[in-house]
Amino acid sequence: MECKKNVKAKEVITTLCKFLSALDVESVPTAEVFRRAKFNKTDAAQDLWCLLISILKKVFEPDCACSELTGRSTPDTQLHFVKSALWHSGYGGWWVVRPQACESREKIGSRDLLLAFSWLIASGNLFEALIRERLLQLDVLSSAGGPPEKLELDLNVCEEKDVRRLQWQYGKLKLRWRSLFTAQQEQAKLFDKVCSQTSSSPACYSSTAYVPNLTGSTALEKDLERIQSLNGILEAYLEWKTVEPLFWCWMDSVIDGCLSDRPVDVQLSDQVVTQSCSYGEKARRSVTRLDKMLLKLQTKHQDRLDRCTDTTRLSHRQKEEVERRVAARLQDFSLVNTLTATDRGFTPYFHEPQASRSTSKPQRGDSGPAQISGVLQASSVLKELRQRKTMLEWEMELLRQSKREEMQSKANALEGVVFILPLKR
Amino acid sequence: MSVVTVQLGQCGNQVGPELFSTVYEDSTGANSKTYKQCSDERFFRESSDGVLAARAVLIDMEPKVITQAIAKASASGKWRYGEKSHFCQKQGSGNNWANGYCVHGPQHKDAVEDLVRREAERCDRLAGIFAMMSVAGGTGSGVGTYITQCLRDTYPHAFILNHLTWPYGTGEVIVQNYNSVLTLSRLYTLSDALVVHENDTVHKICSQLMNIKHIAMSDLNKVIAHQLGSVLQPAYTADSPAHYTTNPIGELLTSLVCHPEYKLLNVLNIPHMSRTSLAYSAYTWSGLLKHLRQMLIANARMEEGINWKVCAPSNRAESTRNTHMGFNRSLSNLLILRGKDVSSADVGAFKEPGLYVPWLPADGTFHTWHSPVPFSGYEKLATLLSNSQSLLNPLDNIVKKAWNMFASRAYIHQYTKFGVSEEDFLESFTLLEQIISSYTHL
Repeated sequence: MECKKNVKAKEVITTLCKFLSALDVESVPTAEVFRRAKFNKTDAAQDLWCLLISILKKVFEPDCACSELTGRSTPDTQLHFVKSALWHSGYGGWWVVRPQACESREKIGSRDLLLAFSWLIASGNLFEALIRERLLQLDVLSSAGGPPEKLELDLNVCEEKDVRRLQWQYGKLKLRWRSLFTAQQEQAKLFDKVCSQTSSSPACYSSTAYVPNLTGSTALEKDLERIQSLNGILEAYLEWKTVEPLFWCWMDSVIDGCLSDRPVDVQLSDQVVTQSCSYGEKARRSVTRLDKMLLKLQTKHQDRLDRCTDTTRLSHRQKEEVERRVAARLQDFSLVNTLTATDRGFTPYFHEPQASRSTSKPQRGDSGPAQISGVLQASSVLKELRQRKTMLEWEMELLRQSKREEMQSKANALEGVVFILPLKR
Repeated sequence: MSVVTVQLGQCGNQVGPELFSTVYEDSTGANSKTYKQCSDERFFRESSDGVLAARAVLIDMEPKVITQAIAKASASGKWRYGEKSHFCQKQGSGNNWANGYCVHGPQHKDAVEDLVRREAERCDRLAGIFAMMSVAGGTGSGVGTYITQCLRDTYPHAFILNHLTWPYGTGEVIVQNYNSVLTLSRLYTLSDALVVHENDTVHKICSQLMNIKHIAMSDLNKVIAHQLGSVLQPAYTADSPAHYTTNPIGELLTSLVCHPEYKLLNVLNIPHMSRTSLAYSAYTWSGLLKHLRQMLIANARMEEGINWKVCAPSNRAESTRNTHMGFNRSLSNLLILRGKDVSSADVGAFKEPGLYVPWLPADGTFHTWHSPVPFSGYEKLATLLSNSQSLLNPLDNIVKKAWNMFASRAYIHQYTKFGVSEEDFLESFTLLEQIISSYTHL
């Protein structure tokens, strides 16, 4: 069984590797490297490091000035580039987030690199963006003929009539493009008809169709090559999409292995939230908002105080009543708004954390799962959620009652109007 | 290579069957097998029982006209409409554009789109979508505009050509100018080109050229169908000089409407006559083309009553400087010649640079199509499809009348109650004023 699963994982990763190669990513490792990285083997680190660099370069190089940084590629600048690129994409691994945590690449295990790589795939549309880029390079129709040779047009002496003429020519080009497009569609349709009538298996012409070399023109051959590689990419992508869920299952097992090997870092999760750029911005905004709210409440409170200073007129009983109500409200408020473990984000576990099984755990003596932030037991979460549910229900009942009273008093104040209570359902 | 026709509203569903009858009769009567084959493939498909079925979708909100159209087609015994290619409801749009555009259109979007898709999938090559409607009523204009919008979304690269029938100046529908303004402004951005027939012009052709005493709606429709047929039937073009073109609508648009500001096309046709006098008439190409050219520059709608005093400026530079009285400047023209000895026809007079705007390259302004097959019994026939100032006046009239009504807020509530706001009206007015100004300053 275990063996069978491994074979499957290997196939899945091979599909991924093929897809990456089709996308023209450099230094794609073998599936074996991924497998070894799962067990944090040191020899897999170099290959994964290269893969990570080449992917990040592909993604970030076009729109940042770091090309000369990576071009010289001393180990230091490489590390800096990878770290900042990962940080930019929101990755919160220990070696990326913590300042001074990692000054040399040797400290980073192959599994850490694997996790970072899969984070890149999982967050955002990395693959789709890469495909789009390749498509722009390869698509024959959209880049027909490449850019025109130098356009003899001096923009400074460009008059209105020149603009109009350009608009006309541009419109003409667009119409011609659409004509070609429909012609291409027609050809595809007819080709499909011919194929489905001449052969019983329609799959035979998918990628290696025999295209008669009528003209022998190199330009056409090039176009053909481009279209074929484009097809290759799309097919590889399709294959990858069908096996992707299996890959994430496998990644789950990698993460499990990671968690069981290393004590869960308490500060890590907090740091991710405040330091990674996308979240930091959010946090800052909420703090400002809270500040403003506080200010508003203070002013309001001052107003009220000014108006209510004359409490002497209230009788003792009234005072007690008010105090009791205020205390009750405050208690409700604190109950509902106290942060609990579930509010801080968690990884649900159905079993005891595997960590507790390992003998070398320093935190073994700690009692109660709540001590380990970020790890919660499903049963305790359920219990907590149930408690909260009853509380909210109770609060709703209170609100309902007060509303009912309010309505009744209002109804009594209106004369000549008869209120009929709705039928009880 | 096929055209899917979408017949919208009463007008569309009356002109549509006339068009199909015209092209069917024409290609069957023609003594040319390839012409017949090409025409059939363009407009019809063979249904399961071997009868030709029109590549058409019929849409109206009331059943009467559609039933008539289907019955008429079946009664001809030669062609018919597809089994399930029509969509109708019980209640019309009450000549209210807003009702059609905001209520009926969205309500029946899926059903209509489905019909068009099925028809489009039956074409090996979708050469274009030809939507026929009037701009005055409620269903044709309102639903038609909405459907055109949907088709544009579904087929972003397909050629969409709209045929619009403009109402009589003294029209029968009080809000016809509102409906026209709303339709034209929307279609101008959606459609690739608008081919326009004015009821007034067609009426005059019927009374003065065809000598019809009591002109019925069907007479008008026959004239329109005749003119459209002479444009859309197979022809040799510049792109395809040896075969009938497989891309008629694409080539039509490429030669006429490349600029997004200028999309209005006018049709001129010569000669027009009653069936009975057809046999006793003889024309020369030079005579026909001389008349046609004068019709073009003097902005005459038909060969009678042409103002021969109008002349074109001798060169382009002059054409920009002073505006000649009554001179109709063109952006681009497409001349379609059908019949005997077309190769001997001299079209040089249409190429004069003085006829056109100075900012276009000379080779982009004028194109000719031709076919040796006589059209509908006419030994020689010339049709001119023209993107010129000729529709400026009628458009200006429509906008002015609509604006006068809008200024006193007449009937506006009929539109606002369906969700067309006053801002929508204002936007439409602005756009049409822009178009008028563009054509004025050609």
